[in-house]
Order: sequence, then structure tokens, then C-alpha cells
Amino acid sequence: MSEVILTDIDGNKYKAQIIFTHFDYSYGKDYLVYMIDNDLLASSYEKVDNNYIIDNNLSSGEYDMLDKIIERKMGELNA
Amino acid sequence: MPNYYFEIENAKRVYYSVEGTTIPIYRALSSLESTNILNQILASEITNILPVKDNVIKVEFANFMTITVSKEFLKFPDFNSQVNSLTSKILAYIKNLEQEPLKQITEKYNGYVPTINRTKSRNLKTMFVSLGLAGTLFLTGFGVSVKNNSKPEPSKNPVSSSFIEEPDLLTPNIVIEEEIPDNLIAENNNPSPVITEPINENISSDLSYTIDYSFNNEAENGRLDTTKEYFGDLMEYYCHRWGLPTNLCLAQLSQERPSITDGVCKNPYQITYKYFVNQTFKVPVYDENGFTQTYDSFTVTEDSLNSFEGNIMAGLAYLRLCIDNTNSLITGLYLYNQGEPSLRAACNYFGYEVDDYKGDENALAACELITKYNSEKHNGNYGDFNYLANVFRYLPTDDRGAINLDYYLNNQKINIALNNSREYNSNLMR
Repeated sequence: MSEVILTDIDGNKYKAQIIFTHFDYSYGKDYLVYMIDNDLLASSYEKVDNNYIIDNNLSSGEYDMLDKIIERKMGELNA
Repeated sequence: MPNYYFEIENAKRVYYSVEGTTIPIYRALSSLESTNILNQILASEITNILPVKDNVIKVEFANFMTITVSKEFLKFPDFNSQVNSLTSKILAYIKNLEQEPLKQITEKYNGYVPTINRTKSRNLKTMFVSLGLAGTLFLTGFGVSVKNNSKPEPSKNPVSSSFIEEPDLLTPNIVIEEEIPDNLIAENNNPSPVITEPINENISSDLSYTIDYSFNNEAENGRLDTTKEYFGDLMEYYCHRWGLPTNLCLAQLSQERPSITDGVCKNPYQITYKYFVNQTFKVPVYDENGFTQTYDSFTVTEDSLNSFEGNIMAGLAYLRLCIDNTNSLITGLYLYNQGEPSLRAACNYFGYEVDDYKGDENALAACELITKYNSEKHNGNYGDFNYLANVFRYLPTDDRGAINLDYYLNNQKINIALNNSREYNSNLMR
């Protein structure tokens, strides 16, 4: 599984395993689904210069949408 | 290490970057050179794929060759068997990359579908990662399953604007043009096996466009009624299921189909078998609430094309593909006849941005551009440049020559108010 090091604004580093990225038309945003310490997490991200800025302030609707995408992807995997 | 740049338009041009120069010089390779290079690439295994920038990847092979391709290249494979094999190889590698994390999650959760830990997600502060450190992870979504709707930067160089997203990376700075014989280029009127994916969950508010077009009215001459008699139920079912306007599709089928003799109608949608057989379509399914998040997936066979239902499925799936790739019902309908890649090829040829010609609001301009392109490239003899009028003539318009065409596009229900300007003008004369 691919791993990246995410750094927050305080300089804390997290080793994340990225599961997938997803662009959603309704919200017009790119999303990132990943795991840190066995927790499945999700954020939105955008590219600024040569960095991806990862925002963790998602609405419940966005989490619902991403949960459905996870369900669908895993369903396709097992189909 | 030699690096080759592939243009998406049927791999017509393959560029070789000359090493050791301050400003990269790119030479367009001859057809023979391209064929030899593709043979070498295909004989070797992919060892790594690296994101260069958004929507652009560099693929490394075991024989130390590398190629740089854009997302567009992978999305629209042509039917040159070498290029098809190359795109399939790259997509298979990416798919494996995408599926590996999901497989591990499946194992971790013993098959249960996990949900996002929202509390922990929200508690994280804003984070960042540099593009270079993102590694292959951001390749997920590079494959065909996710449509990036972002508008690309304007192309600086019309010579290879088909690279679209990254002119600074994929547009040769200096190009030595070399014509490649047309017989090495696949026909335009072929299907791409992939349909871009609508992702929205909820239908948004309706969009409406008015289009004036001049056409004859032949809906009453009996041909449309015969089409409905033989194909009405099937067309109703698949048009409703795939978010297409039944009235327009029946008119299109009336235009396409040959005569029916003794109940036999061979190849009603006039499918070119060699381009469709063995292609797999993945068609988004809609209901009255919009996209259902499900798909109909099917592979076209010769037997299926010989049946009414299989033939109609292939025709409508291809129409759906043309519509989805242009965000336009009208342009999509025209591309059904002119070949799905025609709009991109025309924009590339004239140095325009494809996005400027997408959408129903730009449909007539797009169709005009496609006509101009195919007319120039094929000496005025290509497909049916009056295709729209020839389809529209079978639409059951009202006495003022108007009809509504309703269809779904991604997250939206779209209404086209089509007015027959010929009917309207003749009414004014009365």
C-alpha cells in the first residue's frame, strides 16, 4: 500500500496510507480517503503551487457521499 | 534514457525528446519509427508510473524506455492495436495500484465495509504534502473511473493542444513536423470502450437551452411509426434507463435503420461491427432522481449486434458516450455520425480549446467546427454533414415546429427546447 507523509500546520507528521482520491461534481472538490493508524479518514484537497493542501473540515453530507463511494468501490472489488 | 511523448489523437504523432540539449527538442517520428518504438515498449514490462503533474504521468519500462502520456491519452484509446495494447497495459497497471489498498482494507475489515472516522478526521488540522512526495498515490483517480472536471489551462501551442492539461510538459518546445500516412491512423468513427462517470448523488436543478434549427418535417410519413412499432418498447426502456430522450433516439433510429422486410431489420443502428465487437461499455444508469450510482456493463459481441436488443444497446451506449464526452446532447448526436473523437481532433487541428466547445450552449458552433474539420480532412466527403437535420425531421414536433428533448447529464436534468426555424418562419408567412 502506498504511503505518504502528511504534515500539519504545527509541523506534526503523519504516515498515511492513501486508499483513493475522488472528484465530486456536487461539491466541486477533490477528496482523499486514507488511513492513519488503522483509522479510515477523509479530507478534501487542492493543489496550490507544488503542494497539496489537505482540508479536514468536511460537512456531514460530504462524509456521507464518501462513505457511499467506499461502499461502491469495495462492492466493485468483490463483484 | 529515451523518453517519448504520445499525442492522444490516435497516436498520430510520437515525439522523441533529444537528450543533452538545454532546450528540449522534439522530433515527430515517422510511422515506421513509431511502430518500432511501440513494439519495443510493448515487449517490456512496466516497472513504475510516476505522476509528473496533474493528469500527466511518466511510465517507466524494464528496458529503460519511458513514455509520457496524459489522462486524455488513456481515456480515448483508438483502434490501432498497438496503441490499444499500450493503453490497456498502462490502465491495468494503474488499476492494480488502485485496487491494492482496497484489497488490503477488505482483508483488514474481514470483508465488512468500513466507514470514515469522522471525529478523528475533523480533529486533524490542515495538512499538506508536496507533489513530489505524493508519489504514485495521486495516481488513483488517474484511471478511467474518475472524471476530472477542472478546466485546463489554455494551451500555448496549437500544434499539440490535444495534450490539453499540461502544455508545458507535453507540448514540444520545438517540433519538426513529419506527416504520418493516414493509413496508420484508425478511423474516427469508432467507440471508446469507456464512458466517463457521473458521480453526483443528487439531481440538481434543471438546465434549459433553446436551439433553433432548420429541418424538414417527416414525422408523419410512417417511418417513425414503424420504428416505434418494432423498437418502441426496447427504446423506451433503454432511453429511460440511460437518461436519454426517447423521442430523439426514436428519430435517430428512424434515420439510421434500414427498411424492415418481413419483420427483419438487419443492423438497425448501422453499427460498424469491426469497431464495436469485443468492446465493453459501462453505461451510467439513471432514474427520475438522477444518476443511481450504478452502471450497466456489457461487452459487445457479433451475436449481440445481430439481435434487436443488443444492437440498440450498442447504439445507445455509443450515443451516451458521445454525449458524456461533449456535455451536449446535440453535439453528441452529431458525433455519433462523425466519430466520437472528431471534436477533439477538430480543436486540436484548429488550435482551439475543447472545453470552449463543450455543452449544449456551444453545440451548434461545435458541430460547425466538426463539419469544417472533417470536410477539410476528407475532401468534403465524410459521414453525413446534414445528420442533425436528417434525424430531427423524424421528431414529432408541435404545429409550431417545437419539441422538448429532455435528458440527464451527470447530475443535471437538461431540457433542450428545439425549434424548427423553417416551420416557425413559414408560420410567420401565413
